[in-house]
Order: sequence, then C-alpha cells, then structure tokens
Amino acid sequence: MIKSLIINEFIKAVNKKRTYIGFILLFILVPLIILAIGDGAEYLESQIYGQLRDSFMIVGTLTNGYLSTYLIIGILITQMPFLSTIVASEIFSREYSDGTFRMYLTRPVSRSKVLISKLLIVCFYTILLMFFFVFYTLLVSYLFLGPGDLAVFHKGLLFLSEDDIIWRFFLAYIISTTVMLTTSFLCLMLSTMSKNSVTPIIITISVVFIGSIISFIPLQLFESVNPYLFTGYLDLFLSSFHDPVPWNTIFISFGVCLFWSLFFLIIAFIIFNRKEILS
Amino acid sequence: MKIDKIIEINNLYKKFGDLQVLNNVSFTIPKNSIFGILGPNGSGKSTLMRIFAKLIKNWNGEILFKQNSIINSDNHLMKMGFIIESPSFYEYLSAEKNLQIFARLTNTNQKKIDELFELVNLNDRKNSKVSEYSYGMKQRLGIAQAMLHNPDFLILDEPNNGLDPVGINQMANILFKLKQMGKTICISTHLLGEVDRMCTDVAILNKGKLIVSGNLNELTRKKRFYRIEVNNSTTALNDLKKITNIEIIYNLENSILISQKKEEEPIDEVLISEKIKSVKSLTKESSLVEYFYD
Repeated sequence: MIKSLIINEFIKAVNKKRTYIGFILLFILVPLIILAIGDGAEYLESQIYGQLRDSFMIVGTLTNGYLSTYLIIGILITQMPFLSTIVASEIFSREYSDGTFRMYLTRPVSRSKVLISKLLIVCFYTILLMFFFVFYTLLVSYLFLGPGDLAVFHKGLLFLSEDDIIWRFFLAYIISTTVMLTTSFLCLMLSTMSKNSVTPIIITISVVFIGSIISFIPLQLFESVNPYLFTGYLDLFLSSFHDPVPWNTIFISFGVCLFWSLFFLIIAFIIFNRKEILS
Repeated sequence: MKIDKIIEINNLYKKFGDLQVLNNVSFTIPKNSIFGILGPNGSGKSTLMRIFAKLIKNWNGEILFKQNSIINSDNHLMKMGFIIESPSFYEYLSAEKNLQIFARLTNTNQKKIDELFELVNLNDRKNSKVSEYSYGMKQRLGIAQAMLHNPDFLILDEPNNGLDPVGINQMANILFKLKQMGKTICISTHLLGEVDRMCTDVAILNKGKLIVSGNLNELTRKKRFYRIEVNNSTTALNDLKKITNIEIIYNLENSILISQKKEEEPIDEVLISEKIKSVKSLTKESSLVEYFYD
C-alpha cells in the first residue's frame, strides 16, 4: 500500500507547476550571478581581500568557479527556505482546501501511511532541490570561471588547494540539506494545520528569520539558546571549508536537526490523525 | 443468515464544540434500497455521511455495517463508495489519471476504470483535465470514483446538487442502474421530487434529531400527514395523546406533525368530535418531507 501511496504523491507532485518554480528560478538566477562575478572579478577581489593585498603578493586571480560557488551558496542559502518549502507548504493544505481529502481518505488507507508518503515526497524534493542548487552552481561556475584554489577566511586567510575542495562541497551540501529538511518538516507540520498553503510558508520563513536574528545578535541570552535551535545552523555549511573541519559542531547540528525534525513530524502525525475533514 | 439491513445506527451523538450536531440518531438502512437522508441545512446529514466515511473520528454511539461495528476498523471502507459534498478531484490531472490515483489505493485494475468511464458516459473525455469538466461531468466522474472498488454501498451527498434537469435525469438513470446491479445507495438531497421518484426509504433529520425513518411507501402513501399549529404545545400534546388513531411524529415549538393511516377517519373530523380546543389551525401536508422545508 505504501508503494501505491508514494506513486500517487509522486504523480501529484510532478504534475504541479509549482514544483518546478525553485528549479527554474535557480536555473536562471545562478548563471546570471556567475556572469556578474566573472565580469566584476577585480572589484570583487578588492572588496573581499582588499587590505590583504598590502601584506600578500597575489599572482593571477582568486576568482574561480569554486570561489563563485562558495559565494553563491553563502548568499542564497538564507533564501532557500522560500524555495525548499514550496512543496511542503501545500502538500496537506491544498488537499484540505481543494476538498480532495474528502475522496482520498474515504479509501481504506491509514492516515499515518498517507502522511509517510507525503513526507517522503517532501524529503525527496528538498534533497533534490538542494542538490541542484549546490551542484548546478558548482558545474556552471566551473564551466564559466574554471578551477583554482579557494581562498576563504578562517582564522585568517585559508587557501584550500584545488584537489581538496570537491569533497568539502559535498559536506556543505549534506549540512545545508539537513537544516533545509528540518525547515521543510516544520512547513509540513504547519501544512497539516492549515487550509491555506501560503500560511505555512509565511510562518516557516518567520521562524527562520527570528532564528537568524537570534544567531546574529551577540546577546548572552541569544548565544545560550542558539545552539539548540536548528536555525542557528543555517550557515554551518561554511565550516566545511575550515581546516580542520569542526566535526563535533557538525554532528551536534545533526542531532539538533534530528530532534526538531522528530518533534515536527510527531506533531504532524498527531494532528493529521485526529483531523476531522469538514470541508 | 440473511442480512436484510446493510447499516444499523444506534444512539449516534456528535458535538462540534457546544453544538450538538447529531443527537441520539438511530435508524437502519435496508439492503438494496435507495435511501434518502433528508433535512434542511444544518440538520446533520453531511456530518452523518462523514462519520460513515471516517472523515470524522470522534463520535459516540454505534454504527454497524453488515453487523460489524465500524468504530475501530476501516474494513467497511473497502465495501463503501463515497461522494461527500461536491466531488473534488485533482484538477490539474486528467480524469483517467484521477481515477488511477484512487484505483491504486484499492488495487483496482485499468479494465475496471475503462468500464466505469463507459458507465458514466465519459469515455470520450477521459483524457481531458478535470479542470475542463462541467459540474455535471464531475458529478458523473465522482460516481465512477465511488464505484472503482466495486462497493456494495454507495453514499452520495447531494448528487443532484448543481445539475440541470438533463444532468439530474442522467444521474437518476445511473443510480437506478446501480440499484439493479444490487448496490445499496444512500443519498442526501434537497430535491423533494427526486426523493419521491428515486428513494425507496428515507430518514428525515432536523437540528441533529431523527424525525422519522422508514420505507417511503409505508410513510407517505399509506398515511396522511397534518401540521397542527397550537398555542400551547404541552396542552395540545396531552389532548392529542388521547386520540388513539394518530401518531405524533414531531413537535417543533408550537407546530406538531401528526400522521394517521388513510383508512382512518380524517383527523379534522376527529378533532371536532373530540372537542380539542388547543388546536389553532390544521394543514394537510401533501407529503411528509414538505413539512420540513416550509
């Protein structure tokens, strides 16, 4: 039965235009940013490494495909919750508002299995979108700007050699996808409560926004709370490019995300199983 | 053992907050009947149908489907087909893909889907998106959807709602065909003419209470119905109870519905002979159901 439910959810998702918005936006936006980075490389380098040029003699350019990917992920990661929650936001709420649950749930299927099938589609979409985001950016950046060493700031200026970079992008992908999955689960939980598919996105983005404020404002209270919030790890992917990689912090972030994911999903299970379909 | 009733409802209660939506409702639905659930808006018809469909989970009482309680089991859903309110499909998918989605949940094969497109006369439009369907076509597709797993019992919430006379006729023909196929059909409707034309049995609900239920022939064709307006219903009820050949069906504020067998002496003459003065006016109802829609 679960296989049939998953096939159904897959068919529903691939036939909705909304599913492709995130992919189309990234497909258009990423090359434009890369072209802009390539075009303004000199100015960009002066902005990023400006004062260091007084201390170092840099031969050639630091702008390459890896730096471009690193910058684009850093810039767009805070916007990704908008795109990654598109499917999760309407996966329940649209069925409530369109009344399709009035037919779907009158079949002898357990609601828990229906929820699991929808959850798997949300997971699949989020993982795929994040994969597309990171590796499409890497591919296009590489093709446009070529390879090279990656210079990042970590305890000063850290140069990562060309053959030490790709696995770090995979790690960055895993870290950012873990946080994004947690964000999608929050949105899915809200979707089980709402008939309007916009409401879950607005609330999710508000939560991410508030979480970002907590992680950026250097107050003692916020600093003590931040490690326990999944939103505090939204930019943790940057640590993939540190040397050494802070594995301990990364594993803690996985634990925190797992805790919040389970919390959101348990609430979603309880709500959906008790929900009376009245419209 | 022969089971002559497919559904038995005993002492059903449902509350939304402080609102008692169903209040001690009990009736049975005979096998192979077209059973009409009638009542004005807010009478509890849709709530009752949603309870059958397990869309509403918290209720009190007992519902037996083929003598098995439905409260802790979803097995009955395999033998029931539903259209609750208006049929709602995935509008961005074709009609065929919609039916395939529902068919997958009950392991129904493509051959059955094709047969049902024939039955509801939508074969030439099965590849069109549901968003391009008229309301009548959606209703017919709804019937096909409800029939996919070959259920014994169909529950259709206002199947004629929004249909033009041609659509109503088509729907009636489909329902008669299904009855001939041995199905039991439970419909809710506001169209009283259709009740007389289609239904074999009825239950009438008002404000969550069962007013009357039974075979339509027994209820309407062998009995006369009167609405009696009174000044004081307590006094009037006491007076009416003294008359042996009438049945008090319902007392709604100062309006009392009574019935009597057609072979009995007409009630107006009885009231005069019994000198009952608490009665203000007496109206003969042309049918039982009209009383509740006045």
